[in-house]
Amino acid sequence: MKRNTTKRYYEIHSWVGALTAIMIFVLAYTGSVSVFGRPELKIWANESIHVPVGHPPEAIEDLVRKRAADVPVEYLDEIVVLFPGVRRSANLVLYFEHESELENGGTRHHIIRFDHDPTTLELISRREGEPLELFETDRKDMADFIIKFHADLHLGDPWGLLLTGLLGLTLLASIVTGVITHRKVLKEAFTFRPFRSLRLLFTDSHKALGIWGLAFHAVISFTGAFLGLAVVILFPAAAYVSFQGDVEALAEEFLPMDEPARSGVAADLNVADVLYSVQDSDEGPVVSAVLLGGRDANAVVVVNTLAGKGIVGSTLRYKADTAELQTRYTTFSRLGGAAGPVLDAMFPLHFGNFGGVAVKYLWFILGLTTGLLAVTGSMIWIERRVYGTSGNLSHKSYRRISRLTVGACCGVVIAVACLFHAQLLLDVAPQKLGTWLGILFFTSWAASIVWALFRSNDYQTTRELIAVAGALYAVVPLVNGAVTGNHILNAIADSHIVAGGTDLTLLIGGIALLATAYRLPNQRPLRKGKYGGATKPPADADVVEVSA
Amino acid sequence: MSEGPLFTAPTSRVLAATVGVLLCAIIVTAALPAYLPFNQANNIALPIILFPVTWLGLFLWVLFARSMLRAWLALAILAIIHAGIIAAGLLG
Repeated sequence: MKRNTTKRYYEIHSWVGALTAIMIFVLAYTGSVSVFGRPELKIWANESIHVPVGHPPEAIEDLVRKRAADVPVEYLDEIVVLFPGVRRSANLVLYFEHESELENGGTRHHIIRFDHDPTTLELISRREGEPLELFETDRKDMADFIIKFHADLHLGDPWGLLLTGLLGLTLLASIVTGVITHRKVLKEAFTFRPFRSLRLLFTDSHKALGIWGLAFHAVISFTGAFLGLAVVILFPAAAYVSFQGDVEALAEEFLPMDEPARSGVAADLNVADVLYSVQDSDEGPVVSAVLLGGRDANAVVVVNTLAGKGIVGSTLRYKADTAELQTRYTTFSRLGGAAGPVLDAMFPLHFGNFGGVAVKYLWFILGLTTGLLAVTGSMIWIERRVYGTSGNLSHKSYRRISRLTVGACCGVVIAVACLFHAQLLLDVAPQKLGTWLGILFFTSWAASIVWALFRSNDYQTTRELIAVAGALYAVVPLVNGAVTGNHILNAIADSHIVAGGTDLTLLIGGIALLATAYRLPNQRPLRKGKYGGATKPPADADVVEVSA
Repeated sequence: MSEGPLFTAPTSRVLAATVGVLLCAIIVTAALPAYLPFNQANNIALPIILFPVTWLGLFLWVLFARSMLRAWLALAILAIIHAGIIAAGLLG
C-alpha cells in the first residue's frame, strides 16, 4: 500500500477516534454493565425477587382465571402473563388487551393491567390505559435506567437512538481504518512495553486491546449501529417505501402474530399443562405467555423463553385447551432466507445474553476493553499534541481536552456506582424513582467533569476519580447488607445467590479500581524509570523528575 | 519536493462524508428492496442488516476521493437513481 494511503487511513482513524472517544467509552462502559441488566441487576435492585420465585403452573392458571373474571369479556381475546425476575418485570404481571377500530380506520389499544407480588401473588395494583402510557409510568429501577442510558443516552426516540447508532458506525470505521493502519497484527499483538514511556504504554495497550478483542469490537459496533439506526430510520424508511408508510403492516410482515381463527365453539384453557410442557423441554426460563383467542376451541398459548441450548430464545405455540405443541420458532426464523438467522443473532450477540453467566462476564470484560481502546486512542492523540509536534491548537486547549476526557470517562464510572447506592438508599414513591436516579446519575457525572476541568494535574485527578469510583463500588455490598439484610456472607444460606454474586462482583471491581488508583503515577514522569517519557514537555505541563 | 496536503477540500470532504454519505446510504437502503430477488421480508431486511457496510464503503470512498466534485456527483447520482426507484415504486 502506498505510504500516503496508509497515512490517510491513519489520519481518518485518529480523527474519528478522537472525536468520538469519550462517547464510545461512555457507551462501552454502560453497555458492559447493562449486560447484567436483565435479570441480574433487576433481581439485585428488587428485594422481593432476591430469592428465586417459582410458582406451580396451577397457581398461574388459577390467577389467570381469577383476573379474567374481573374484566369485561372483550378484554379476554389477548391475555399476557409476564413472569417475575426473568427479564424486565419484577412483579408477576397480567394484562388483558382490547383492540378496537376507530372511525378514522386506525386501531385503539387499551389494557387492564394487574401487578402481583412475585412471592405471595397478592394483588399490588390494577391499572387501565394505553399500553405505552402504562409502561412509561411503571416503576423504573437502576437496571432499567442503565439499560435505557446505554440504548439512547436518555435522549429518547429518535435522537438518542440515532446518536448511539451513529456512534456504532464511527466505531466500525475506527476499527476498519485501525486494522488497515496496523497491518503487522501478529507482531503488535505480542508487543507490550509498559515501562519504556507513557506514550509507548498507551500505544501498545491500544494495539493489544484492539487486536485481541478485534472480533468482539467489530461485532459490537456492527450490531450497535444496526440496533440504533434500524428502529428510528431504516425500518420506518422501509415501511414508507414498501408499505406506503404503514409501520404496522411492516411489523406484521416481520413479526406476524397469527391470531387463531375463531371456531365459535367454547373450550377451557389449559395454561398449567402448557407451562409444564415448557418446563420439561430444553428451552430457557419462560419470559411471558400470551393467550390468544380467549375461550374459543382454537385459542392458543404463545410462550416466549430465554435462550436454552442455542443463542436465541424460542417462541412455542400451544393449543390452549389440549396443551399440544403446534409450532416452535424464533423471533425472525419465519422470514426464511438469510435475514431471519442474522436478525435473530443481532440481540444476543450485542447483549451476550446466551450461554449463561460465563458469557455475560466475558462480554462485560470485552466491553470494558472496547471502552479502554477508545480512551487509550484518545490519550495517544492528546499525548502527540501536548508533548509532540502534532496539532495546531495551543497546549492549553489540548490539556483542556485531556481534562474533559478524564472527567467524562472516570465520571461515568462514578455515576454508575452512584446508581447502586441511590437504588438502595432513596426512599421515594416508586413512580419517582427513575427521575431521582437520573438526577443523581447526571449530577455526579457533571460534578466529576467540573472537578477534572478545574484541576491542573490530570494524573492526580485520574487517580482521585478512580479511587472514588473504587470506594463507591466496594462499599455497595455493605450498604446492601445494612439496608436489605442480604449480604455476601448469607447469600448461599438465604438463597439470594444472584444478589450476592452481584455484590461480590461489585466488591471485586471496586478493589480492582482502588488498586489501579494506587498504582497510577501522581504526575507525568519526565524520564527514566516507570512510565518515563523521553520528550521534553511544554512549560505548562505537569512533570516530575524521576530518579533511577 | 514538498508533499501536498493528505486531504484536499477538507470542509467539503467532511460534509460529504458525514451528511452526504448518511443520506445517500439511507436512500440506497430504502430503495434496494425494489430490485433484490428474494422474498419481501428478506428484500427489506438484508439491505438494513448490511446498512453499516454500505455506509462504511461510501464513507471511506468519499474520504479517499481525488476530486470532491466527483465524490459529490457520484453521491448525488446514486441518491437520485435510488430516489427515482422509490418514487416509481410509490407511484405504482
